Amino acid sequence: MESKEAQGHIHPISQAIFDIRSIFEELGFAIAVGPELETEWYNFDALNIPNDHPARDMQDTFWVKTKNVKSEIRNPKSETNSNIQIQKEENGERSERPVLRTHTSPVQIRYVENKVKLGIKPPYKIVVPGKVFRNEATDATHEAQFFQLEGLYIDKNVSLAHLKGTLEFFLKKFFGPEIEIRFRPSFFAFTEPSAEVDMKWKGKWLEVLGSGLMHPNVLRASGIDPKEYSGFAFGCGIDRLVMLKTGIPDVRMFYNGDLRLVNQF
Amino acid sequence: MKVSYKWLQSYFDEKLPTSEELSDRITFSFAEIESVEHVGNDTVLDVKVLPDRACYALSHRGIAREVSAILNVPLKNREEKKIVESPDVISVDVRIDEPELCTKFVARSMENVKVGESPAWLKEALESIGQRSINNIVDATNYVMFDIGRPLHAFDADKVKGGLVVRFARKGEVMVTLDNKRVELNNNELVIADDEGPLSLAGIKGGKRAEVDEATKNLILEAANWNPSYIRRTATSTGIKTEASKRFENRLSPLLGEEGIDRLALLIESITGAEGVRIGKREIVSFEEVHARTLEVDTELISRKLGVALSEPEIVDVLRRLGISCNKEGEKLLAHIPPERLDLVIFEDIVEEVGRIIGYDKILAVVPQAGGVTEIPTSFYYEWKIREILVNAGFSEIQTSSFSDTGEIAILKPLAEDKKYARANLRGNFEKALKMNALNAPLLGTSETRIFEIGRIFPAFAEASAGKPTSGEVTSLAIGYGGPKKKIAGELTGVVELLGKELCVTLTGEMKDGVFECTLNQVLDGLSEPKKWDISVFPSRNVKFAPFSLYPFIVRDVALFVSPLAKGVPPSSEAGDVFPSADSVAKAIKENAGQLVVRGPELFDEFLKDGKKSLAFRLVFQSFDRTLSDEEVNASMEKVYSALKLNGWEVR
Repeated sequence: MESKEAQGHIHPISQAIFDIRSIFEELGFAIAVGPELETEWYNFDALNIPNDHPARDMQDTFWVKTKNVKSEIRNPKSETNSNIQIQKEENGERSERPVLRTHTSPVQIRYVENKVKLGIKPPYKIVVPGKVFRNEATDATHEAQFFQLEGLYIDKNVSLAHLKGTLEFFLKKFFGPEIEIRFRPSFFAFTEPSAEVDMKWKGKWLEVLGSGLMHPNVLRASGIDPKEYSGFAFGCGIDRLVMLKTGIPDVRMFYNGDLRLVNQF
Repeated sequence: MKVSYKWLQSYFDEKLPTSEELSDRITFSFAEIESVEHVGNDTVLDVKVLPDRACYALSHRGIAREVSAILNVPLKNREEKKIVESPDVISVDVRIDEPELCTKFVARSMENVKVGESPAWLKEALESIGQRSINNIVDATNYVMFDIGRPLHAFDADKVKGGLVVRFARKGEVMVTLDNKRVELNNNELVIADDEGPLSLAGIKGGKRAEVDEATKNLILEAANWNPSYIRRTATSTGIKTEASKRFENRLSPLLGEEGIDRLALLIESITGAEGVRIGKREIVSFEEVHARTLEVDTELISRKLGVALSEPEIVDVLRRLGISCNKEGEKLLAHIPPERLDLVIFEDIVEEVGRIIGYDKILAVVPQAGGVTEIPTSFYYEWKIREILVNAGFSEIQTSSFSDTGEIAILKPLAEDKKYARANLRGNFEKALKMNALNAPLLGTSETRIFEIGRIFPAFAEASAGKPTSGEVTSLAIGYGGPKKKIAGELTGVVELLGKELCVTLTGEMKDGVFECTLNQVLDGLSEPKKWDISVFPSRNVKFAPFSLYPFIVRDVALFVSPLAKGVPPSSEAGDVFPSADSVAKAIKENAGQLVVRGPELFDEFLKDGKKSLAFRLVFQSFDRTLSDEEVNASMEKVYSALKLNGWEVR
């Protein structure tokens, strides 16, 4: 390596991903990646978020225009059953409607599906760092693009205790051994039970993560028998973790290409 | 869901804990509390009911049942008044044309009601949760909805011509809503209509034509059940989202129809002055059957999923608190699901119920065993390899927006004019960042700018493969150099060659305007799979971010001659003279330049001439709260000049 002075700087989000990878490697978690331009099937349906379900409101979505895929104008009487996507899947129809992924969770499905295809059985342990998109008004804490970290562990008898242990291990390594964590009930269509995770840091409780045990429908959608295996999944905003740790006040500062930010790190 | 503390208390004999404590208990066993607000002599908790629990918890009763389970405090036994129907009240004639979408319709008439102001308790209850009181009839329908979660509607029976029909609207039909919005209907919307046309937008909003007003004497009460997907889609397409549509799109137990209409009739009877009020027969048209539902509970598996050892009696007791009774059928433990709990469908739902009520804090943290193959995706590895090489070569990584004002992949509802497309290259936004950073170079203490970005771009949908469109998403690399024009080509070519050499690949891309861009997928696909993680980068230089000013800065240089300290004594070297150190001069500048210096003094030039030494320093001035004027900076520089002169140094 060159001397530190002559060196350039790594973007703080990348630096966080670098650190996160090494923390999870200690627990045997591999890295997985997936596309930013997803299909409706992977982003929603396979994750137990059917079309016309109120759970879709939890994520403001960027759909993109396309000539090739059927438009979203629908007959009011068709597709009224909320299980329609599952039925469609059984008929071999998966919605190819393109969408900028709203979370890194589709990589859960892609990764597992691929392993199953290769005949590789669980345990699977991965973390997925990647860019995601939300169609919401931007301000200091909201940006149309940000980075998410997805975590997934599938094995026989994976429990909420493993989830808690993993997250505590990660957050202590990332923020310092003094942090505490706690779970609160929540809802994510792709986990059951679901839990929101708060972290106590410098005397304050902060919401940092969403998590839970993988929903049997999601395991099934990716080709795993939920009777034999269970898994946990979690997701958190990497931008938020970095902002908490460094005091960067505005999420938009990450994406305007400004060295006045990058050169500090 | 806004919850009145007083309203909630009416469900219990026992005094509830303070609103603060209650909020805390709800937060850790049920749902997030968005706010606690004192309204008059009541307190209102805003409970964030998430979609799974909306089927029962968008109501005071639903929240009360939760509170009962969480605190393990029984609900009050409420004496329900028996409804007395008058056989001679005119019956309601209902026809359902769309039984798939209107799965149930419950209706009844009421005669001789007196429309007027609501009693104080009713007004207060509604106003505490932010609902405006309209009249006793409308208030009663709203009250029942917020109490048990069942939306209801009352029509003025004398304004209804003929019977009620549930049908699709006809193209060109128009309905004016209760809040005077004109809705032009297509044949996609379901309406409740009479012989003359639409009376209400089914499940979403009532219409003006059969509105209850001061003159209303007779009512038709309606409690129908609508297909959740249909309601959700229509509320979105018409832009009319209401308390009713919110409840219907989350599904409701059909059994609430009968209960809702009975409660409403009794409430109207009791608040409109019972004299002469007559309740008609309940009409029910139903296309859905309700079956009792049970779930098999594997108590051992619950313990295993939660990671907490729980006995069968403990689990049965938690479920009892939630109103879920259990019984044994042979070896099997069966849980009987209350009809309104449409969220409890699979075994895992029961796991969550048990977990949250015993408390997630009981779960111990267990770190899973390490081990296993930790594979590294090729693309991820080599993107990091590129970062490592470029950072070592003095380039810094930036990130820019994934959206652009031009491109191939158009966003359906873009956030802004300049974000109408997913970017088709990095160059567009990257060039702007290069310019900005080059302008800021003095502030960053350099004369050259070296940056790069690695990110996904979306050139176009790729050729369809196997009949399916695939995304044309690829990873791209942009490298930029800002500095003397004549150096640009050499710098960029040099770094591209360096990358090529280190990775053993040839990078071909577009070199233009100080930026080189190339896509990486094909290049990286050909590289060998990484065997281990061997990337090393320096750890962050700082843990904490230091704020910087967004106002313009002003650069000033100062050059001066200094004479030798004392001629010939002591002769430090053969060169001879000893001069005051650059540090001592910088110190004198720093001390006199004032608070607005954000960078410097930095020595950028030094030479000897005629036995004197010339030193040149650069200072950068900037304010956190305003744009600096030349005059202000001149004044600071004057101070610097005076101080330098006092030291006997000659400012050039």
